[in-house]
Amino acid sequence: MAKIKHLVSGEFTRLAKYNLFTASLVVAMVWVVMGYFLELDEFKAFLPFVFLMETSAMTSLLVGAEMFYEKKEHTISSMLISPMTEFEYILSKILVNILNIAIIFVIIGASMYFLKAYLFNFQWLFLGIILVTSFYVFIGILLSYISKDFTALLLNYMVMMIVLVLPSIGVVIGILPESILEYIFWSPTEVTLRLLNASFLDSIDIVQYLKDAVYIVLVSLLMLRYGVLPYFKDYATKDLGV
Amino acid sequence: MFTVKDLVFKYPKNAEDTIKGIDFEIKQGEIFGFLGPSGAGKTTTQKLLVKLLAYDKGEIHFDGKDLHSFNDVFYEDIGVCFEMPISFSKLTAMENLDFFQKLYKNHADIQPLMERVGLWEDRNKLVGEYSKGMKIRLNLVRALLNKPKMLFLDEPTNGLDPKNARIVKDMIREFAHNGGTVFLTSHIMSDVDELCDRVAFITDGKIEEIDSPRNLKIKYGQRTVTVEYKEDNQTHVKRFTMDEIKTDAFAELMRTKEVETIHSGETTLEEIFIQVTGVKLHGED
Ligand SMILES: Nc1ncnc2c1ncn2[C@@H]1O[C@H](COP(=O)(O)OP(=O)(O)OP(=O)(O)O)[C@@H](O)[C@H]1O
Ligand SMILES: [Mg+2]
Repeated sequence: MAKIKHLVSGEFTRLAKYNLFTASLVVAMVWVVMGYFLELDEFKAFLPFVFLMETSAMTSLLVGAEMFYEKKEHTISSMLISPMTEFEYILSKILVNILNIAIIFVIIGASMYFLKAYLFNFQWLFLGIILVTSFYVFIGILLSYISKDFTALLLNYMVMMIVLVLPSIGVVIGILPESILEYIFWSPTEVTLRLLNASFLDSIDIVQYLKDAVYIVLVSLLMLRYGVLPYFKDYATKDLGV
Repeated sequence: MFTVKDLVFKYPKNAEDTIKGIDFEIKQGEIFGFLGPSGAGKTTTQKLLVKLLAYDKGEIHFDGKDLHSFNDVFYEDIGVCFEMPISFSKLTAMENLDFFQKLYKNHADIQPLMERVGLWEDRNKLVGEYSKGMKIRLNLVRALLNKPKMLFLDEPTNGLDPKNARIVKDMIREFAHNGGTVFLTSHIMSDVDELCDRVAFITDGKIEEIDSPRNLKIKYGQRTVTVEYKEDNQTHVKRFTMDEIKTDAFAELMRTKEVETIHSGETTLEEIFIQVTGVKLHGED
């Protein structure tokens, strides 16, 4: 446990020193400014977009960028030859990203409260974040596995966005018809939206919520077991001339 | 410390085995040199020994136990010095060392190590602003953070100026002197000659020779004596085998000619390297 704490704090320090935390703060500020100009109802309609962009797009991009640096500077190998398991390494990445998004959402939430006197339900929000973050951390890790360099990472990231995130976003901002929802009902981003939206909806469909929670956790576990863990060492040590 | 038996390894993507059944032993307290041409499998072997690659054919034993039976606790006892820099460039040297050290149970005293390699003054500089040689020296400190029993060093003096190379070599020798075991790969034969108790030559995934540098020199040495002498205002050269120097011809030359130089034809490790490995290029046996 002490080791996890140490890994998380180290990871967070690096997020700050490599200016990745600043980058995600800047994005958060964009939402805050938007909230300032929009009416409360408009902003509430816009919230799912913010939630989804932060949890999915930001998280997988941050993880991809971190892994890119760690690989480039070979620190990932240095960690692998320490008494630390791959699982602990991945767990610390998940915890850091949960923390990061939580901070961002607290900022957005606080600004909503002061600007519009609106408070969303933080318990549901944090529960949602905890449930969905692993999935996008794993997406970020898998993206770095298949990307040879930073350009490839960004390209693969774009493809992931178009396939995974865009359909849900399209419906939220009204450029895609709601009728496609039945086809993408079990898309991880739709599931993410339903889980996070619980934090500002008046009524929650508990049965659907439980189904969604189990579904996203199961999908994440499968990704961990069959995608992330088996290829981790390979990725970390590939061009390492020990 | 390490016993390797009939180790075979193939990279999943390759058709051919990279390591083709090697056997060797690294004894406690010795400096073991692992030499061979580029692509022979040195790095691969080292990765297998530090569990960065998984093997399924053959055996590796560490401290008498199967390497497979160790979990991450294995790393408490070993230090690995990579050839390339392995630090976070946007953190200072101390922040780097502090982060890595806290992953271990045993903690070495950082200050004397940093002073020894001449980096203590620059400890609060970002590693990104370090020179290549400074980063390499920092790697050695990183490898020693946990007071390891066994050190793996890849080209430890590569990129260092002669003074720092000297310091690093002294540190390696002292580490072994205090009971530590060292596995070292290097292309600098004079360093290997100076440091290693035993060396192994690997070519194309097979070990060709294992012995002490001294024994190898005797085995591969030409064992001749070359005499340069002056006669009629000209320098002449005559070579004698070790048997021939017992003959009168040699004594006669010594007695009657104006001898300029005498050299025993001792072979260097470099020549042995070329003899053992160089003749067999990849693929042709
Ligand atoms: N990740 C990998 N996948 C496939 N083949 C590999 C991989 N790494 C190394 N090889 C191959 O294995 C062989 C041995 O490589 P290795 O890196 O062990 O050589 P080396 O002895 O360390 O050479 P050098 O002195 O250049 O460092 C080479 O033919 C190399 O192409
Ligand atoms: Mg190598």
